[in-house]
Amino acid sequence: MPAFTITFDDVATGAVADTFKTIAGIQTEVAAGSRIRLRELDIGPSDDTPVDVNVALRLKRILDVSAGGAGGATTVPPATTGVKRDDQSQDPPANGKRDYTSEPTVYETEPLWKGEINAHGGAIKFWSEEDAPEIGLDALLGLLAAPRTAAAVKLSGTLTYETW
Amino acid sequence: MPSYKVTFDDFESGVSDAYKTAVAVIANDDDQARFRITSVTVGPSDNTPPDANLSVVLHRIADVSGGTAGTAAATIASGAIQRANVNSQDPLASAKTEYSAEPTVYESEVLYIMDFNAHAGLPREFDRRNAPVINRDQHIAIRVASRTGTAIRCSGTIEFEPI
Repeated sequence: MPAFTITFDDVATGAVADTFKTIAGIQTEVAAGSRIRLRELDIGPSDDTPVDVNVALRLKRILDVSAGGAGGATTVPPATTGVKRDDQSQDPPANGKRDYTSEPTVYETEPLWKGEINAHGGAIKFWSEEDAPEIGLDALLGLLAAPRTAAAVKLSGTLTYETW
Repeated sequence: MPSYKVTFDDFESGVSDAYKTAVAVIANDDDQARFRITSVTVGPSDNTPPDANLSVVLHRIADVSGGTAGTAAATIASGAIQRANVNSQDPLASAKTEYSAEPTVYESEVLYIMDFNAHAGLPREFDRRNAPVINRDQHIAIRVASRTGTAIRCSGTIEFEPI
C-alpha cells in the first residue's frame, strides 16, 4: 500500500486568537476509486524567535470540492518528486495543498480531530488503519491551526497518507 | 530482518533555514539494493542550549551517479556500518556523515519535515508500510537547519533495513 506526503514549511497561522487558518491539505481527484486516509501528522514550531503561545489544531473535511469554496492554495501534484515515500510507487489519486492565500468556506461544521500544542513543543500523531481520517473522491482534508492569543505562530510539518 | 544504524555527533546545523546534511544513507547501484528508513532520532547537543527552533528534513537524491553528491567528513563503508546484530550481513549501502559541502542534486520536495525547539528532541519511528524508501543508487539524508541565525548543534541516528 503506497504512502505519500505533503509537507509544509514555515507556514504562519493567523494573528487573531481562536481564528483558524488552513495550513495544508490533501485533495482527492474527481475519479471513481479516489480515496485516501491520513495515517500520520507531524507538526512543530518554526518561528525564528520561539514564542510561548498555545496553538489549536483541527482536521476538517470538505465533502464536495467541485461545488466551490475550497479556497486558494499552492498545489503540489502527485508526480512531484518527494511526494511519494517510494519513488517507484504509483501516483496517488490526490494533490497536496499548502500556502493558502484564501480560506476554504465549505468545511464541515465538526472537526474530525482536535489537538493543541505549545509553540515550544509539537505533535506527532499516528492513526491506525481503522481509525484514520478518510476522504473519498472530490474531497479535501485540511489541517487548520489557530493561536490561542493574538500572535501568529509559524509551523512546519508533514501529512502522511495512503490509498487503499 | 537486519537493522543498520548510522550516527552523527555534535553536528552544527545550517542557519536561517539553510539546511546542512548531517548523515546520509546511500544505496549501492545494484538492483538488489532497496531499503526503508525505520527510525530517525535528532536531539540538541549544545553546551549552552539556545531557545531556538531546529528544522529537520529527510531529503532524497534520486540518482547519485548522475550528480554532485557533496563532500562528507566521513564515509562509512558497508562493512563498517553498525548493525543491531553484529553477525548480520553487510548492507548493499554505504553512509556519509557531517557534510562540509552540500549535495546540489536533492529533489525539489522533501520527504519529511518536522521542527522542534532546541530544548527538546525528535525521536521518530516510521511505520514500515509508510517508511521512506531508498532505491538503488539513491541517497536519503537527515538535514538540519536552525530557524534563526544561530546554529544549533545536534546528534542523532538514522536506522534502516533492507526490503
